[in-house]
Amino acid sequence: MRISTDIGAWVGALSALAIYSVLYKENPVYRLVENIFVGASAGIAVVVGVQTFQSTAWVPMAKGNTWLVVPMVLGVLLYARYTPSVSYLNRIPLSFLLGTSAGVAMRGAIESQIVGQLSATMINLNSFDALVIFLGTVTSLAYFFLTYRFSGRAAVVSMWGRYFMMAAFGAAFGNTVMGRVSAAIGRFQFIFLKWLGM
Amino acid sequence: MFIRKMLPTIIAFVCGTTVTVAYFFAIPSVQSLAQNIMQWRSVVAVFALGLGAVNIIMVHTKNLKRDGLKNIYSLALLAMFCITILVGLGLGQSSKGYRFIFDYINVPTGSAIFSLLAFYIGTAAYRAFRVKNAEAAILLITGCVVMLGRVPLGARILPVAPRLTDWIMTVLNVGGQRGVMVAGAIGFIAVSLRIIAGLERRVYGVE
Amino acid sequence: MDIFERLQNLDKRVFYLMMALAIAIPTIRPIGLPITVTTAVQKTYDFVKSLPDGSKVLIGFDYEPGDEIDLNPQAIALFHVFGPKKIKVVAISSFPAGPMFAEECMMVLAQYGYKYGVDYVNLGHYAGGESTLAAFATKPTSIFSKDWLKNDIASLPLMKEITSMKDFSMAMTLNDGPTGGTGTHEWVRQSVMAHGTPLIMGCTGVLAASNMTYVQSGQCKGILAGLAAAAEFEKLIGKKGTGTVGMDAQSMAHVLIVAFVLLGNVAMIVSRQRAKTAGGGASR
Repeated sequence: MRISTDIGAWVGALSALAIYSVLYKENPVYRLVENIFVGASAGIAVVVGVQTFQSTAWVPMAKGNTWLVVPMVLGVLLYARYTPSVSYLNRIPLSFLLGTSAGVAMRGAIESQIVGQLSATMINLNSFDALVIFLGTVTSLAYFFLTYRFSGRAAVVSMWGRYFMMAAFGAAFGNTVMGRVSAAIGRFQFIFLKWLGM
Repeated sequence: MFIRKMLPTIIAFVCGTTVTVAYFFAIPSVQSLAQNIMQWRSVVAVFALGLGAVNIIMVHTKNLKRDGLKNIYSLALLAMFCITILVGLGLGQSSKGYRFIFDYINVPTGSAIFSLLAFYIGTAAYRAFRVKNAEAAILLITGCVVMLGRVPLGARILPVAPRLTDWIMTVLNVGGQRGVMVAGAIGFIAVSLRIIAGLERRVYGVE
Repeated sequence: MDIFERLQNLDKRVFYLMMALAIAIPTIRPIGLPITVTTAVQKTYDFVKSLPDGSKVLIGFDYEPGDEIDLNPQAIALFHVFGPKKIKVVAISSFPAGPMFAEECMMVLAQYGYKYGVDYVNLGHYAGGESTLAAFATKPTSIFSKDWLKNDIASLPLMKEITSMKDFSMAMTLNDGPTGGTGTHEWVRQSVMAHGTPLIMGCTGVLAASNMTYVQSGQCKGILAGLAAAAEFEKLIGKKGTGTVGMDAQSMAHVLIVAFVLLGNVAMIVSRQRAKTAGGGASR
């Protein structure tokens, strides 16, 4: 075992251990490190934001695109929410942000998430896999028919839809566990291999 | 009245309609306007990044005014916030100081917080994940098979697990997820249309 | 009190300790279990290998600290495929931490003789999610006037060759979800559907299930999901990296969680049987 002499390794390892100490008991060290993390994250967001502002707005405006003053003013108006007498002005940039994103997302969603997905379901049902995909899609869509209640024998359709969705959520659960365990593996590798040199 | 209610609705309508029409119709003037709208949106979004930081400063400054320097948590947060900004803007993002803050404070702590869930899943697996009905059984069985199939040791324990996992992910899962995705997309389009048409104004604060 | 009741009342910290040991022991003493390559990873590898030499690729580093253990190894493994083919790389990011991760991963390209500005560029962070990606896809210079290192875009030879998303042979998003940035659905909409640029996804385990639909429909050419996929990709390229190193610990943790689930359900069945027997006895 060769413990690292790099101060960064010590800071990183002790920060991670401070966070893991909450598994034993809620304690002041955990809360302190958590707050330090929040402060650092917020600081990084501001630093990156300043550079993004320079690249996206300030430099192009300085080079002649003076109309960019308009979105800059709209951006400043976002902060009107902190002044009660003019907080209503914050609705203008918000409506601009939301209206644009609604339009951009909607136009693509029709093609990619509805047409594209449904065309991929309408395949030649000449194999078991194709049949399962087709039945899974149709029955799980039937489950979301909220304006019409399936009853009697027809209720079997939405019941099977529920089963297919549970299978999908089970697959998602298995992969989620993998994702979270990976994060722990990363920290343990840092602590044992990089810091403690085991 | 106009600025409070009508203007935000008009802006949402004009912007949403322009970018949508530009996508489906090849009209150069509309496409150029849509491109400008999206570029402007990216500028406004940069300012939105600062909203979180302003909120943090306000909350923790209030804490310090109330508790004084005894509140070491708020003090540490604000101190780290200021240090990160000074180092980042003063020395630059390629500097050793900024990289130190990112590599040895931000990343390890963030990863550790994320990974706490792995431990909570461990306890929940024993105490809460119970097969009480058919749906729960399907969810847990597929979950366990996928967990075993994605790792080498799982393949040793259950040799059929990797192939079964592949089939679950590429066939069974696709059927269920596709229904959720299409239904979700329809709902999403409905809400987007309501925002553009001015029927959903609560999202930007108009009653 | 029988064993199942004792386990039920066991302090949760014992479970935490067992999880920690399951991860720590294989980290310190690797077992070296063989890795099997799945269909999804093989498909992704085949697609990336089929890219023409010297083509251009756009990579979105759209993740935060916490997911770098899954996604950095994927990026690095991909760069080992790009290197010998001299595939040029442009990196963008919708998360504040993304450019730093991009810078870290792109250091690998130096061993293939890559020059910054000519063979690879890190454009940095963009705000605004999908709308900004859409604007970038139509005209990159409308969003970035300077790169991450504050060079003028116009001075970078690689950026002179790029006028829209159509100039890329492939786009890739290394993604942990849309919250705070651009998600996988947004990338499908803006690269594949809007511009016809093929897309592959590198994502955390959480997103694997929902995005498999895009692979099946052909809208996405491949997907790498989590650390396991990174390990499989490393096996295909013949370079052992962080992905492979973590798989033993991943194995032990997964098997432990499955064991906990089984044990918990056996305990439930046993206590139900006992309650029935006790109830039946009482009614007599």
